[in-house]
Amino acid sequence: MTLEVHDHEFVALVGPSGCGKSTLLRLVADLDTATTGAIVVGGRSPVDARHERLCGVVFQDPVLLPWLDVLANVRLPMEVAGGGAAAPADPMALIELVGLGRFAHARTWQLSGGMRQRAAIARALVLRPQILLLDEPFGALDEITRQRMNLELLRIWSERRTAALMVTHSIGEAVFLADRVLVMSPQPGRIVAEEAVPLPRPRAIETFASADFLECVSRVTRRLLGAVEGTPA
Amino acid sequence: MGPVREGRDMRSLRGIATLFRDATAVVAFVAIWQLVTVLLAVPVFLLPQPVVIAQAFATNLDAIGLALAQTTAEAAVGFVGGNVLGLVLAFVFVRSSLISRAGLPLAIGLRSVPLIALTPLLTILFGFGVLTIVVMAVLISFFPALVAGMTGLRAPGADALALMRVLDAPERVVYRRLRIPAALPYLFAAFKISAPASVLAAMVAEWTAANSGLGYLIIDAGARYRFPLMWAAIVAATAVAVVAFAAAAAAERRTIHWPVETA
Repeated sequence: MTLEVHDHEFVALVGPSGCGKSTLLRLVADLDTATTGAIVVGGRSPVDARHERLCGVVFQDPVLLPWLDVLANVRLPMEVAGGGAAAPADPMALIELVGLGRFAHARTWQLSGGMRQRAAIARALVLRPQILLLDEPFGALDEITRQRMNLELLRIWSERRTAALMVTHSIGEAVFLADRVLVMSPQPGRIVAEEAVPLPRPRAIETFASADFLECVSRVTRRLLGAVEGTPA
Repeated sequence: MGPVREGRDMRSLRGIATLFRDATAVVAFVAIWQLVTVLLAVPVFLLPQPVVIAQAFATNLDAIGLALAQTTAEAAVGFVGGNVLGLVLAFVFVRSSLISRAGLPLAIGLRSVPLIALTPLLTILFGFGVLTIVVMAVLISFFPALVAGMTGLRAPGADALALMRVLDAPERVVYRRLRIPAALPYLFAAFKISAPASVLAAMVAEWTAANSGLGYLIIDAGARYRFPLMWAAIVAATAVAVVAFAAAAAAERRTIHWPVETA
């Protein structure tokens, strides 16, 4: 399969569980190694891209270190990179950006699930990655928090303007966030459809009610159902 | 910082309340002991009155103090040595599964030998005296450190390790930033076991491998029918073990300021 994410572009990958969308993300981040095919990240192989820390990753679990406060967690990539980090972002400004300004010195285990994920997003952005990889980042959150976090994510992404590749199994979320939605099919995992999302930016809560949004959701839904046709649910 | 300070004050207040409650329990226990021994006229070789034990403690203060200092020092050296040994081994075992597969059964085997059975052998190897006693304390401390160290260093989950990989963290940094902090709660659990246990081990060794120390004092006083002194030494030994545990627990509270998930 072929997939390309351009600079400043937001691409969402949707598909049923087990279709390999997380694996695809892990290949880009060099957490897994592909046996065939070629992946190019910022003009480099995934290994080289990882050495240059071109990817910022947000997992479903925020994996904040409980012995560090929020600021120290956001600074962690800078500490790890040492002098190797080319012009990191100001961690405090990032914490403000994700809306945790008052909680910079809070203990991470005292934060709500949404706030933890905000901290994880700030941490993923602190080394100014070329691409932000999001693996169902809000999958563990309740529906209302999830909607709010999607709005926040758009705001943060439009401020930072990195490329973004997000894996989700929420069609609405994918359409709302992305410039393009890629539909994956299970067994064998491949991209079976690509839908451009012509919704104007900035998108806001009203976008959910627009006819274009609903039209786009139903198109992606049809593609997705077509992709899983013949496989038992 | 307001809420945090308040929390700390509340905690110290609760600490004082707990201390008061524990002290009351101890005083009540001693009072009942005194009452029962007097009322039932319990012979001194069975169970001396607390007052008599206190007198023996006062008249033998120098002897008990000296024995206590010696046993404490030996136990402390053994505790430190055992933990250093255990933690170094834990690092080696975690980093190399080959060495771990060969070494872990050996370590478990060594630990499975009853320590009392080991004392005569240690006395032959390390001579009659301080070295044997310290080695006993080392042996009892090293195993909890090894097991806790291995479990703790392996505690970080796949996601945390993936994060470190994404950050291209060198192995050394993964240890410093992730594995070692994650292991600390496990290590303190081990310290709380081995701190009082090392006192016990030193005293057991003193029974056969020394002519000084609290262990020796207990055996010697018993053999000379000086039961109040024997009991005074037992009380002193108990106090050392309790203080050793409390010190480990206090160090834990100061260091581990985050809730530890028991998954």
